[in-house]
Amino acid sequence: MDMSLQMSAFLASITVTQKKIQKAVESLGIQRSSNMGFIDRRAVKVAAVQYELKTYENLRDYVADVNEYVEEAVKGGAQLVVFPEGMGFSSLSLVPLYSSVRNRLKGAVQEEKAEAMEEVSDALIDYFYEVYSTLFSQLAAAHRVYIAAGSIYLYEDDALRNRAFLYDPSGKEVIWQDKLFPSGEELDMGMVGGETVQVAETPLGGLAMLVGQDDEYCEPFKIASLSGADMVAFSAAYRGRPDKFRSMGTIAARAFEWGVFCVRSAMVGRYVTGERLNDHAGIYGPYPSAKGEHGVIAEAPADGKGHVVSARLDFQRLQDALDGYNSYSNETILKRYGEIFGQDAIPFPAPGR
Amino acid sequence: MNLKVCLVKPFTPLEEKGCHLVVFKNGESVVPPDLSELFLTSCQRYAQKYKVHLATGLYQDGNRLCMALFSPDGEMMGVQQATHINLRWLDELEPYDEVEIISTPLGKIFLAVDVDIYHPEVLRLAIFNECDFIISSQMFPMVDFHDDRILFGIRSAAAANRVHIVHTTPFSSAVVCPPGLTEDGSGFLAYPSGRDQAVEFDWEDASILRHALMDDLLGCGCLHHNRNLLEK
Repeated sequence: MDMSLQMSAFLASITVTQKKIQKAVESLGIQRSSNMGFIDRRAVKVAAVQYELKTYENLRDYVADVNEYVEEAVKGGAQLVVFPEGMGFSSLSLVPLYSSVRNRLKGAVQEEKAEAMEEVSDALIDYFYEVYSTLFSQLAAAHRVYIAAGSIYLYEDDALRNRAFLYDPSGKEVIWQDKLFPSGEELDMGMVGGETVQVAETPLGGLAMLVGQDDEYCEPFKIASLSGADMVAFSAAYRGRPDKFRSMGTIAARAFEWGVFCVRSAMVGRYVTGERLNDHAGIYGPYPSAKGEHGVIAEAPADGKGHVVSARLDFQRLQDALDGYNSYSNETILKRYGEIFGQDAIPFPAPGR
Repeated sequence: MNLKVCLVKPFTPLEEKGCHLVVFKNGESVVPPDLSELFLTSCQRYAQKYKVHLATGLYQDGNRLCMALFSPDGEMMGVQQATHINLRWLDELEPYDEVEIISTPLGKIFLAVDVDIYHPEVLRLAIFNECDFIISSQMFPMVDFHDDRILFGIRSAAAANRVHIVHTTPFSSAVVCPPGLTEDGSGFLAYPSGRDQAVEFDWEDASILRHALMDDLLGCGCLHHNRNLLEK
């Protein structure tokens, strides 16, 4: 491994500690909200974060910036705040010797970017997790709301995972969710897709989390819905070309197909590898129940800036979304469809590398 | 394979040259059982006259909702019956239990009958049975016809299954493909229009994307582990 990366990881473990993060959160003087004091399935307030990537001078700046999103959401009454995919990397600029890490990533030619990213992830994975888990647990407890903290890379049983965590208003980790369909780059890094869809039974309703390109596939949303999810906290960091049609063909379509609300976060700004992320956060529902057009309940502008978008969701309306055109099921067809996945399972990629 | 498809009102004289496939829009209602034989005979003659493959609109055969495909010499190459019924017709019509792919010189075709287009499991079965493209024919009363029925029907089906779909209703026709294959990201090769349309496309453009999708689906451990839920 690159010496500067090793050094950076070592110094990070000394300079950014749990205690320092806790102190930085405490220094913000956050007032506990009473947003969880009144819960009604007909009026669940949710917020999707459109997080803007930034370079931070120090830990306090970073904590204050992330808190600003939570605070804005909470002031608007949010009971659940959803952050994007890859949120675990948002603290990258805090690592000592950051400029050499950044140069390593920026300087890599396209084919070597995944390898360079893998090296950085490997070296700093413990640091990222410590910052991520401490910060979001503290913020959830400080504001007394649920936070779907977006995802972070971590190793489990020697296999790399892209995992999102949900923190409850006491700061406790409630469930986690692995990305089910890793991207090509992530597969090249040895990432293994998740094997379950977890649904948390919260006072707000059934809550599942899904990550990244999982919204291109209808099946995870079906599994979530049939496992009791009323809403899906979706953590995205879409790198493709932004266009007005994308959400209609992915997340809004999934909401319509399976009768769930989807709270989709997004990441914008310049990624450390030099790529620009242009995406927008939004909240979607089955179109017969959503008041807006095309299943859009609320959407942030695709202006490359950070935003928080909120909406009040009425889970009772999910029943009203029952539509004569798609609500009848043919059991024989469903059985045949299930048989597709009963074929000998394709072996998972070998864990680790 | 590059195809030229004409989407027209039933039995409109075909003026477009070089058309391989004609797809009839639906009339104001499904062709009733007592007229279906006459309808099919007329379709057969139309295919023979213009030397085209012809996908009929929706007709009722007994208590089944159907759509048929004719060859240029008037042979009925296949019939697909609806596997799902709109709730408003569930008392009158019976669903069919097979998804059948019709092999033709134009490619392997699945006929998505009426609301089958809204059922992801039907379309997944079609692509796993190696269909090359889909012809979807829908019946709407005017009161139910709005753009979300198109966007969340054929458009999301084409995106989710990475497949070209030729689509007709009583009021419109369109051709849609995976969004990444169109300049504007919309996926529409021909936007929904009330006019008759002629569209050229090559379904092979989507086949690599579709095979990657099928690999992804079969490689996903979560879907194997949750097969019992997917069957519900």
